[in-house]
Amino acid sequence: MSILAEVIDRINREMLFLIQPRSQADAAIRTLVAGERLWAVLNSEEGDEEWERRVGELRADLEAFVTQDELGPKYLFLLWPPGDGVWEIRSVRDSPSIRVLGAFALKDCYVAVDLALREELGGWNSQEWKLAKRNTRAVWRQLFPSYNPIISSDPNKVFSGASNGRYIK
Amino acid sequence: MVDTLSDKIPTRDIFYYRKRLKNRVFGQIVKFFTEFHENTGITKKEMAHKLSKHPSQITRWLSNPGNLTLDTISDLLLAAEAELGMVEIVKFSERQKVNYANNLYSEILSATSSSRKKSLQHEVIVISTEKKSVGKIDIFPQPNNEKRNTISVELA
Repeated sequence: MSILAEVIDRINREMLFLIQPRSQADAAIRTLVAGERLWAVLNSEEGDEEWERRVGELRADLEAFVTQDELGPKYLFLLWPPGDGVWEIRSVRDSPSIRVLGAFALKDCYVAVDLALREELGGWNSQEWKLAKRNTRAVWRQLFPSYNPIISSDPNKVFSGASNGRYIK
Repeated sequence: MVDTLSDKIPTRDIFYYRKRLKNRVFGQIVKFFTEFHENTGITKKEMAHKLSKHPSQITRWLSNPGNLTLDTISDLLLAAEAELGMVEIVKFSERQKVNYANNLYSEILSATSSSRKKSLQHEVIVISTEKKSVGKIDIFPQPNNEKRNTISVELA
């Protein structure tokens, strides 16, 4: 089974969920599929205003991956070590910033595995960051035991519309 | 969304649309300045000088949608001898549906939609053979608190 067939299979089995633009006027330039935990957050029951704000903004930020012409390194960033193929999408606010962690199954097909609050992750070499990246790799292996994600530090090989800038620390 | 003018808009939707607008405007601004720099070679330092700002301020403005205000958009464009064109306001009901999508996205959407339709048929058949009456079953679970599509099945 190809990796595309596996992605489709996981969606049909509700292990992954396709993020579709809410507006029919937006063309889907890329594909983003969300893991169960992220999907649960996006469809969570109504909470306080702070929660509603974070979830609403997170949804808009994830759709930006699907619909926007260009994506910069402040939005999408390759985590160290590049050989793991783990990319983060940054849903940035004053506080707290949310980091969505995932990897690319195919060019322009991002599998958003998990999410974490930036304030809980500490410095770049913190134990929390290492755990978050390890968890992302572990969930990927559960989803796709036969396939590795795309491994490349060249953003143009991973997604279309990469603007100039440094995508890796 | 809103069914009548008297319906309250969910808080989540309010923040979603705010961020969506910021992201769209930001995307256009960044795209403009990427092309502007490629065509003219003018740097952030030169733009900052025109606005009596530190170059880091230009970087900050162009790094995050949340850092842009109408004033900063005006200032940035002015430094590039440009301004925002007239903004078009479009009602949701009048938005034109796009007729294209990334091939991969279309393929996934098509394959997963048709698979769910097949799954629905299968469920109906199983319920029929069990000779039990059932109430409503959910089909096509919808995200974002939209109403679930339901069907009622009565069996002989």
